[in-house]
Amino acid sequence: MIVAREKTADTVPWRDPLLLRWLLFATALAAAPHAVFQPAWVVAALAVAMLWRWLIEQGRLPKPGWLVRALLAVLLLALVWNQYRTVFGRDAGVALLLVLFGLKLVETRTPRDYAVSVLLLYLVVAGGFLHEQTPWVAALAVLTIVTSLVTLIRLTQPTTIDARRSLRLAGALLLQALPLMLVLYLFFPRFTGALWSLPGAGGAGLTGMSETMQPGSLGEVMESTEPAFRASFRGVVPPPEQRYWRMLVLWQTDGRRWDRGALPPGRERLTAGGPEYRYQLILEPNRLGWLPVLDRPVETPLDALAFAGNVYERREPTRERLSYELSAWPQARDRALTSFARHAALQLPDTLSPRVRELAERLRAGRDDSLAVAQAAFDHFRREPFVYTLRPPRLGTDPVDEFLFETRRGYCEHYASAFVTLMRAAGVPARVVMGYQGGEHNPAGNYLLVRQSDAHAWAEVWDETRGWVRVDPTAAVAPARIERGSEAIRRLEASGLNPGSLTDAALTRAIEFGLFERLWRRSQLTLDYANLAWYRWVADYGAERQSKLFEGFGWPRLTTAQLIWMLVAAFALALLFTLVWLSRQRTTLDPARRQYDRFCRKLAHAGLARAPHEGPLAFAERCSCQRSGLATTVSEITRMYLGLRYGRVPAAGLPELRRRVADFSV
Amino acid sequence: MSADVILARRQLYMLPSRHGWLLAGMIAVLGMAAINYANGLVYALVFLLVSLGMVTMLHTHRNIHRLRVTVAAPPPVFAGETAQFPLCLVNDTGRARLGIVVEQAKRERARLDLPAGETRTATVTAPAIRRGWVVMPPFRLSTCFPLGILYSWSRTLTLAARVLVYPAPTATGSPATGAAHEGAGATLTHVRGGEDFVGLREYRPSDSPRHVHWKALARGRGWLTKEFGHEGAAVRWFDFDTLAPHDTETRLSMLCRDVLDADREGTPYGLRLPGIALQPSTGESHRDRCLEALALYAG
Repeated sequence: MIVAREKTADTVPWRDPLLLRWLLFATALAAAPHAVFQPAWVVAALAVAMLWRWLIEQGRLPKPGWLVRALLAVLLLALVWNQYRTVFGRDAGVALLLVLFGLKLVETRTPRDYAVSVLLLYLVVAGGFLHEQTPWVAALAVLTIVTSLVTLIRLTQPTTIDARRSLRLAGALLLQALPLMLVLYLFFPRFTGALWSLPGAGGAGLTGMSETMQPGSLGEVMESTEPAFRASFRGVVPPPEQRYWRMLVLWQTDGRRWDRGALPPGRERLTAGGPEYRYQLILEPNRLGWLPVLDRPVETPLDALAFAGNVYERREPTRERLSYELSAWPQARDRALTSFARHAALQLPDTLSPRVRELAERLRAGRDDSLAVAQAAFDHFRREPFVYTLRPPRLGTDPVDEFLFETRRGYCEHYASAFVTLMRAAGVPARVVMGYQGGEHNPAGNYLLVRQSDAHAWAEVWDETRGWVRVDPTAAVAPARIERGSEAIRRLEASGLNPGSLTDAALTRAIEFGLFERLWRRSQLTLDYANLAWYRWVADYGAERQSKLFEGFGWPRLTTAQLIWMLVAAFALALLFTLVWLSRQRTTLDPARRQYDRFCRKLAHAGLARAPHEGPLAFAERCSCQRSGLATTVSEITRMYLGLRYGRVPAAGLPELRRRVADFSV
Repeated sequence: MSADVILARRQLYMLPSRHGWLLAGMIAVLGMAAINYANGLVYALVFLLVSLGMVTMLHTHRNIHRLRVTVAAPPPVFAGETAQFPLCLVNDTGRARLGIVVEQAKRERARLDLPAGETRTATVTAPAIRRGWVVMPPFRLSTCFPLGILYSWSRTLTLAARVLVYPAPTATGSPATGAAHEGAGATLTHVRGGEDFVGLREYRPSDSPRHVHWKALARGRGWLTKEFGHEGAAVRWFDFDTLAPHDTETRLSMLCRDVLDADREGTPYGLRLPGIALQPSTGESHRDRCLEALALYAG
């Protein structure tokens, strides 16, 4: 008929056949971290749901009706309740989210379902972050987000753009969003304090030392090279012999086991003096609430409770990394010893053997200064054939006696325990301090990395004029332990050498690293620094660090309003930058096409405008009809253009086309 | 009003789509979680989603911004049919524009993907109820690309295009057809249009390509047009006034049928409307002239 045939674009079906695959892929990535955090059945339930949905897609399983879904929802709720006795809070909430997300996945059908599923995935990802803020969890989240973006792209645009291009587009979106995200992240005002508080999690699998000391109790901890904490110093890092990190003070002993005793909370008064070391300590999770602090602390870190001996405990175990800033005053002086504390520092077991008493008497004889007595005991350890070893013989019921007079082999806790017992027997108030000694300096970040293997026990004795004085009997036997660290001792033991029997030079030679080992350690330190930096900028980036960052830029004490203004300005700037960048890469038309457009413009100028629906061939024909004089040129240029743009022969004739178009005139 | 629009920034609007509002809600929930747990990575996730929304805004805008919209000459239709306006979306940029939706009366008419530098067509329709002109109905373009969280649409566009609607032809022609040969005998001169070859003449731009003497062109004799005509054929006159008992519209419809029939048979015919007389002839252009006269008759 008269109505011309017309090519109308068909309305496309919304579904991309691969859409479900992308969604399932994103789900798997989002759920992966939860396989570690959640009970196995939760993740298994989600996996079953994914499989189920897949089989529905294949037509091998029917879609579940509403009754089945409702029953399943109730069942899953009951299972979560059974596991956690609640459905609120972090762990139970995330478990519930995961299983209900599985249910949602099973009934996902319409575009809206898909969009909602993708959005719920973000909640799943955030649930993982609440568990752990490590780089690998973050990396999985980035992958999840990219796949979720691909899912959204495929959902919006099922045609024309293939999976690879969608992936590229998703990646481009992510990269373009990153600068904006960084601006928001750095400038967005952080708040302190929670909006609401919910039950958290049970801390399982935490390592670290225990609250008591008995022969062999530290040995297990010292086997581990896991980091215990990191301390970065503002300015000078203290020398190795001052790197004593106290954590616990043990007052009471039954002859075998040392514990904290019954001293009530309360701080010991110190007078600060001498040099100050200011540091930030980032504590790894461990099973205690005690906080390691560098000798000697004056303030109380965080919300901890101070105990006699300048040690600090929080009510809860350290389940997540914790950071606090503190000063150490190595030359701080105690003011007085309470009678209660004096009594506790002189407590002795009833079972103290006569041999020990006799030795103590001998050390005491003729000396009335408590430090002189301590020096005598110290000399005793150095003089007698005591051996420092990480693999001492097992001790029986009276370990102090057996160690002092028979085995004479042991490590820090044996020496500390024996030393303090001797001091008390000699009438000198003394106590055992447990904590860490040493720390590896990481030049990459100017901080000390202290490992579990640096766990240490030493003694403190009371001197009427100087207060509590640190005496480390281990140093009498193996000065290398203090000066060169536990790592050096470990290496010596591994090569069958005894630290006490070597000269300094021999020692240095023995613990010297080979090239590969040095490179390995170097890379380990760099990795550790990256780890620390990650922690600082991610988990620990709060109000405090934020204000410190701006202080660094020279804007101290910003108010929230100022911060928001800066945020808006920086965000607008970043957005503008993105806009400019996006519009810059706009017109990169095919060069042949550009020439052809130029040619068309010339024709249009002469009254031969090409209609947009007119193909080049039809246009050429029309031009030829209307201006027979142009026929040859027009058809030749058109043929060249079509050959360049659509022909099989590659674009060899582009300069020729350019020349012809340039010469062309009507 | 023009037949050609380039979507400028001021003609474009954008709001979150339904999915976009859902995402905003999710961002709010995550934001509260981030603040409450002071969790750096949840903060980062929230800010990443916000930033993705912002970047998507630029992408969605860019997808539709500076899109050229033109309309091609729409073909005439008969009353009762649907007028179809061929809409051309021209992508002058070196970047594909995907998922461009043509909306008419809030309904999706077409969804087009335009590769770089290419043109695609869609159709905007309007019911052709009565003869005369039908103007192009308003429409708008929109897109949700790339993430479907933002919906950008253009101001309602009206392009200068109209369709000529011929009267709806009646089922049978005018009853007078059989006796409509009055004056026929007088025309034995040759009438242009028809099936018999009459001769060659110089090509004129308005000539149908079908009549171009291509062989002569190929032999280098230049552009010539073959002329056809009738020698002494019976000529039929269709006259508005002879259909007196019927009302105007019925008469026009009958005449329309007559014209179509005569054109199909190839008989030369003329048309008389009050104040208009179209001399007898044959061929497509004659037919279209007659139909146009019927369509626009304002008596």
